[in-house]
Amino acid sequence: MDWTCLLIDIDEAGVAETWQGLTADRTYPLQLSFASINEAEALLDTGMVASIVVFGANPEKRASLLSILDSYRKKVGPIAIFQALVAADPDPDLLNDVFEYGIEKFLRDDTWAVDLQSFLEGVATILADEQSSEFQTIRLARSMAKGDKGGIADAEKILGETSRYDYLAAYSKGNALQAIGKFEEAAEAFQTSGKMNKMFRPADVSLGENYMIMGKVDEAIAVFEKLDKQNARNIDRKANLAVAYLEKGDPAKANQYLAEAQALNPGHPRLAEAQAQIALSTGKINEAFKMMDNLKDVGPLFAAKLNEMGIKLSQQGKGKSALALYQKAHKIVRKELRYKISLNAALACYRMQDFATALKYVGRCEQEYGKKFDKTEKIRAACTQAMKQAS
Amino acid sequence: MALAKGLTQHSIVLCVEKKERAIPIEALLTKKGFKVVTALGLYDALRNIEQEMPHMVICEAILADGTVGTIYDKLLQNPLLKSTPILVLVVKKTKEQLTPLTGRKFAGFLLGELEGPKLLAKMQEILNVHHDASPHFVSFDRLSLAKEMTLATKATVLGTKNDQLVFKSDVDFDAQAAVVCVPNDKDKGPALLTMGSTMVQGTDSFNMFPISRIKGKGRLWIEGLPGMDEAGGAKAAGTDDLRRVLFFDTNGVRIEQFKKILGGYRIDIVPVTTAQAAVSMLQRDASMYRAAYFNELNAVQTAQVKELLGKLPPKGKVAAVIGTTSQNIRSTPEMRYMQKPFGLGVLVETLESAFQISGDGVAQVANAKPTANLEVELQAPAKILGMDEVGGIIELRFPMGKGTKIRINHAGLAEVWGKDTIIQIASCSLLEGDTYHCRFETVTGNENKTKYWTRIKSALDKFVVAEPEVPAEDPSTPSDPSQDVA
Repeated sequence: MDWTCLLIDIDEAGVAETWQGLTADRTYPLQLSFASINEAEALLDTGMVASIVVFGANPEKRASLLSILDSYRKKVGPIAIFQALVAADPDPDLLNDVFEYGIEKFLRDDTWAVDLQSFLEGVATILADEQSSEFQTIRLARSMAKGDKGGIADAEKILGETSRYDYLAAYSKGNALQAIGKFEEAAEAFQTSGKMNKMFRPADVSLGENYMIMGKVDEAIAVFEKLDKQNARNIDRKANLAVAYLEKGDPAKANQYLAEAQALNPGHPRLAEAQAQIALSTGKINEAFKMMDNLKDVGPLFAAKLNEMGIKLSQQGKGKSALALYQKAHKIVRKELRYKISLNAALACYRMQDFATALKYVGRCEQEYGKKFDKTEKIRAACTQAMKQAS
Repeated sequence: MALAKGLTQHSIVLCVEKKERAIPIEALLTKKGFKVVTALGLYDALRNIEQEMPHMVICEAILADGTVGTIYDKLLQNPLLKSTPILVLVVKKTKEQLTPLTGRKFAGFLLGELEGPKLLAKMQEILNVHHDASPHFVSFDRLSLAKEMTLATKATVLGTKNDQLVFKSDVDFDAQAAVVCVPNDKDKGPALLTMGSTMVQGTDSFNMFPISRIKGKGRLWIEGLPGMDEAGGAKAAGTDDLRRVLFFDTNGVRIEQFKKILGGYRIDIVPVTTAQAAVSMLQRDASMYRAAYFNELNAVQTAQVKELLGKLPPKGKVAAVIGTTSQNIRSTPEMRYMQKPFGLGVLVETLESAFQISGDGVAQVANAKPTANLEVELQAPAKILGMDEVGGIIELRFPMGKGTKIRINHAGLAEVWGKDTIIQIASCSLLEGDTYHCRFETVTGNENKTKYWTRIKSALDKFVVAEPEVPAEDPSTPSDPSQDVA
């Protein structure tokens, strides 16, 4: 496969005009392609990009930089060693912000075209080995982006052996397990990854989020607070801490972290997600629903909360409210998390004795999961039997 | 083929009639980095030229027992020496002095009273033809031998200590080096090690590699190793409360940002914005700090810091970490250079390694009871670019220190050398990016270079696949000595 390295000019420093001239006399093992900030998202979607080199040292453009790094993580994978920044003298906050993604490769702005060659030679060597944890991580990220549960389960199996000694494989395995709802095992994988590479923050972040999903709020707070000491400028973390403290029953602390997140970037989508989650937890359903209209690609933590809320409503006999919640939730959560919402919607319909709709939801759930599985089979069987009895 | 600058120390045989005429020239050339062998008279000159295979001969036209013409004719008869450039010093433009020059193709002439700058300029002009390599250099581009090879050294894994894997070896690996650790026990997998640091205690060298950075199947056995602290009962350096770093940067805002961030890693920064103040603070009470970080130091400041660190008592050592954009700087166990721009993880790991070296950390490692004692080979990939009369030039992705002794694993070269393939690094320079060229030597002391090169050259000739490149004739080569008038 012809892999591409994307050169992204967030600083708008005129790289578009100069990069071809600077790289013309050299042979790079990956195809080079230039993208402005607006084009980068679309190019990351092509599935051809393996590596990115970002010209993004300007502190005023930091939000754009982090947004690109988020997109790379989702669409290509959490592979820090395939990413680099071009900056002559990066400020400590930049070092810290990109270290959230594990990134620590910087190229000098006067020699980047030369340094890029050996950087990409390293990337190409790794990509040539299809068994490498990086190659498998890209495969997994693609399956997750498509919501292909079969692909996710396959990747999890392949990463299994490597995850015993490779922190990235362990981390990716954790992501795969989380996506298929095996939270206990995912936590173990994230823990292993973090132990293997104590400097790899994403493993600790995911472990904290996983603890939240599992309801281990104190453990989650311990992880997030340690990370908050290392980087007090991370909005995700502040939002997670706000939600965690609310769960723990400490609204004062929750509000403190929410205010800190707001001060950093009031328009950040993760902040809106946390606010919606808090509104939901405090019973402000209508307010939460309004907020949810502006959310997209919501992560496993909020998705788990929405499912939990829906189940509670359904079990209380408020099936219609539960379905309304599920409809909303289905629109905003990440693709790989949608199957669970469909499954719960099917159960809610079953409880409401609307078996025909329940079967529709079962079908959608299997489509999203990529194949049939135990739970959908059981609901289908129960619905079919109930429909027979009724007729 | 592009070679890194300043790699090759050019050797000169200086042939003069009287010793006193050689003294100023020898002093000048030695100062400029040349290796100079002085010969008095024709016989001595021919003996030394055969012994040394010099990159250039500088010869007075008339010698006590012959002329430069005889040297030219003798060299012409020797296939290995016939291309040796000869620069002739013509003291007086007399018939006696000019006659030996006629009909012979010398590389250059200098007439009249000798002037240092003119001599150096002429030498540069002649040596430039060889592009920073020895004139005898045989490029592997012309040979069917593979360029790829590995550098290897035997080492012993002693155990783990404070999240570092500790080795005993003879090599000081640079922090930029990526080294594969291959255990002799084939049941144990290999591991890729990076970000190494070296400690020296007496004649012993200890390498440490942060376990977090280790990749590969070898992690499985590494993680099973018991800690050296647990076994030896030694107090772990860097794990006590003193994780204080004297932090020099002229930008106060940057220091404050680092203070907050590194605080999250339990590293306490003491800010200082002038190098002089940093030195004074260390002089006053170095025991306050576990390490010192300097953001760019000039030559004078570096010397000051080096001197100061050298004076600290063995148990009160403070390791220095220096952030720099300079390219050709090599770390030492006491002063570790970090190429800027670096990532946050690299800074934290480097400071953690510095904590291990500081205080009595080196003695602790040296005296701790090994928990593993596992024999391994540390390997690094490299390329051989070519060979010459004393060794050759290799290309690798990290610098190697002068004097490093390391084995070359290359089947073809083992055949060529016909003996143990241990090389010694003589010099190392950055070509570009992270590509370094190192010149190595296999011939040392008074070993006869012509004999060595005759053997090696004939072995290499078997692998020649193309016609040797004939260098274009140097257009500046004068045939008439009157062109160069000093």
